[in-house]
Amino acid sequence: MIELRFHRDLYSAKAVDETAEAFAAVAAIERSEDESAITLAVEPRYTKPAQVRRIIGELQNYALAKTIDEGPRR
Amino acid sequence: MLAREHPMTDTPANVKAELSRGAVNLEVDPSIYPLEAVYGAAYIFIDRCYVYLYRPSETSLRITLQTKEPEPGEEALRALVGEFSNELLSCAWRRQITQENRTLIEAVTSQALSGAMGSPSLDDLADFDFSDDEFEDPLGIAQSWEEKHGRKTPKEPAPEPAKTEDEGAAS
Amino acid sequence: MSVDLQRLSLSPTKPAFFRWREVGDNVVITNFEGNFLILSRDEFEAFAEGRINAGEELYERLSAANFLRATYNVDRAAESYQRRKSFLNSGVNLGILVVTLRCNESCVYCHASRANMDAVHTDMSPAVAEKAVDLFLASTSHFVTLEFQGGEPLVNFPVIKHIIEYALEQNKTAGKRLEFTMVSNLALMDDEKLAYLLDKKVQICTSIDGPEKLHNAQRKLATMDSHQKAVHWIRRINEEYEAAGLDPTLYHVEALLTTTRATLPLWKEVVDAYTKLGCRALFLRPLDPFGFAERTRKRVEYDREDYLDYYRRAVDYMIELNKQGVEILERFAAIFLTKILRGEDPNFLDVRAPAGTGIGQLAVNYDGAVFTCDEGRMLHEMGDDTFLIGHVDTHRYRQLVGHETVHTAVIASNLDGQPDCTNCAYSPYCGTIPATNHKSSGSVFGRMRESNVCAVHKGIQDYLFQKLATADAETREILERWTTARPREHFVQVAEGVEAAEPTP
Repeated sequence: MIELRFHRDLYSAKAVDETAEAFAAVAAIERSEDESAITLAVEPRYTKPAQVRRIIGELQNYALAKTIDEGPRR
Repeated sequence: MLAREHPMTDTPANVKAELSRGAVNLEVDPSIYPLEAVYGAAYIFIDRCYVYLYRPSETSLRITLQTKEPEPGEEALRALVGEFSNELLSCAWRRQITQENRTLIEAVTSQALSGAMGSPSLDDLADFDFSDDEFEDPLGIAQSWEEKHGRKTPKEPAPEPAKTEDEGAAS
Repeated sequence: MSVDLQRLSLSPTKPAFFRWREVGDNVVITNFEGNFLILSRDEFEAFAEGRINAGEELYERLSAANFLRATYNVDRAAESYQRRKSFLNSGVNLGILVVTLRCNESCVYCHASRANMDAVHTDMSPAVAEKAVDLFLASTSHFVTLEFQGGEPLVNFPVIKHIIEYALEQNKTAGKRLEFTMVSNLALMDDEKLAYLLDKKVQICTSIDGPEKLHNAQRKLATMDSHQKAVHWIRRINEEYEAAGLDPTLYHVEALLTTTRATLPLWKEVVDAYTKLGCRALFLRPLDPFGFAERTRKRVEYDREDYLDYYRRAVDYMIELNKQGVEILERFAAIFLTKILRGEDPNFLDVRAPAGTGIGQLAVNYDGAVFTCDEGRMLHEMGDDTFLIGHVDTHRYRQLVGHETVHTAVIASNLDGQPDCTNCAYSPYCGTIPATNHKSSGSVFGRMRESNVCAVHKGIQDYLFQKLATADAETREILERWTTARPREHFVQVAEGVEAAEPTP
């Protein structure tokens, strides 16, 4: 299980939630949050190291791209 | 995501490589590299890297670049750091230049697009969305001068004081 | 010794806005509207420190060129700037029609992503062709050039004819100053096709890579005689122009060169090959990062410093030939010199700011897909659809040029927002191509210090300014002559009864 912490001032909450939804098919994802960040605890359903690496990496990129696509952060 | 870290030889102190993961961590000062610049640079690399942003402290921002290709080697990571740093600097500087030259850039862009597009035809007008929905205005062309430059809107003139009976009779 | 700004007491009050660049022993200064002066080091330091007074020769020279605050003429600057950017007042003037991807040649640097001769599914249909013509005739530009490209466009000659007939008919209503051009290897030309193309006033452009051995090694035909065929038809076409009473100094086949590593040592042979063919212009194009060039990079690519060395030698040689009465110019030089010396923009879409991407040109692929530029189409063939903006079936002209990708390209190619360019003395004369930036650096803005295109542009302009500073009067006159644009009205087709708009700039 891998924990990814998405700081609110770096990532949009909406983008992180959309990411969790988009990757639900390839990973079991538990969401938690605190004042400064949203944390996704990610358990990839595919367990080979290369597959895990790819799922985690693509998830990170997805969250970042979705955040950037939303436009300027206020 | 714990991993053994060690600095690459001859690289700045703010750069740490995780060779086993094929990743590098760069820490930057957000007061020098605004978030928009970090986003701009990071986006360029998401086709060949996995990019993760982290806030270790208020005065620091960590960017982790992990190559999509496993086991890239130290040379490749060194090149990656160099290229990313260049792009980050470009983005930060471009942000500043754009702010300083905003008026000129807007004028040229408007002229270029209006010159190319010309007036709408009847077919174009038939497709136009006349709804009240907010439209995208990335260049802020529809903003008033006050909105754009942060000045307060002109004050309402102060209401005239109410006249007393005597003053009313005198006029 | 270089100029050391730290040593100077810079004046904030005397100079108006300027940019500067050391070229040889001199310093080139340019201002916002693109005026330039070439100063000695001492003159530059006096200017930068404000040690200049009215009545002095340097002061008068600076004032006349609008470099001083005290005498800065805003109206004049605005007028100059507007003249340079006058191309922004109108839209797409170059319509690229990729009539087929099929090609009978295989070139080592091909950026067109060719297909084999049996790939008929890559031929443009008449229906798509008509919609493409409608699109281009809807442009806000009064003058439109329809350019046939491929693959090898002669492979789909029936559609070329269809396009020409349809466009001429539709232009009776559209009223454009219409021109046709074709970029062809000429290997499939025959008398019948030639007669048609001449009758319909199609400008013909081909590729000559230099001497026969080099050309045939790089541009492979099954019969290994690509050069011989091209030369044969160049001569035939030029003879036909002359027989038709057209001035041969103005009307002849234009040829292009793509410089590979093998070309670099053959600069003299290349120039001689072109002059022998009666060509009056030579475009010493470097490689671009698209298509086959990507795959054959290790074999054909080179350091841009090596390219610039080859460029300088070739152009020096061309200047010497000019002094012997041989008319030959280098196209890059002519483009930059027109901007520098005449204060005009020749509207070469790849070297202007903003670039022609989407606002000066559009490219329609054989299947009707529309791209902001031909480079964008090449990227599509390489699997990248960043510059795909629509389709002739579903998008009108205004929708296409108003596409957000076009907005992005306009902003990205505006040098007033670009790091490095914003400080570069050559900014008023230069330009970038968003698609090339995207391919080589991942960003439509690019990073100029890492850009091959920037290195070439800077290197050529350094060479030209060095020439302007040090050359004899005869050389300077030759360089000025290279800026003279002689319109080729024979190729312009205006419908009868329709009032012609302004001539092609």
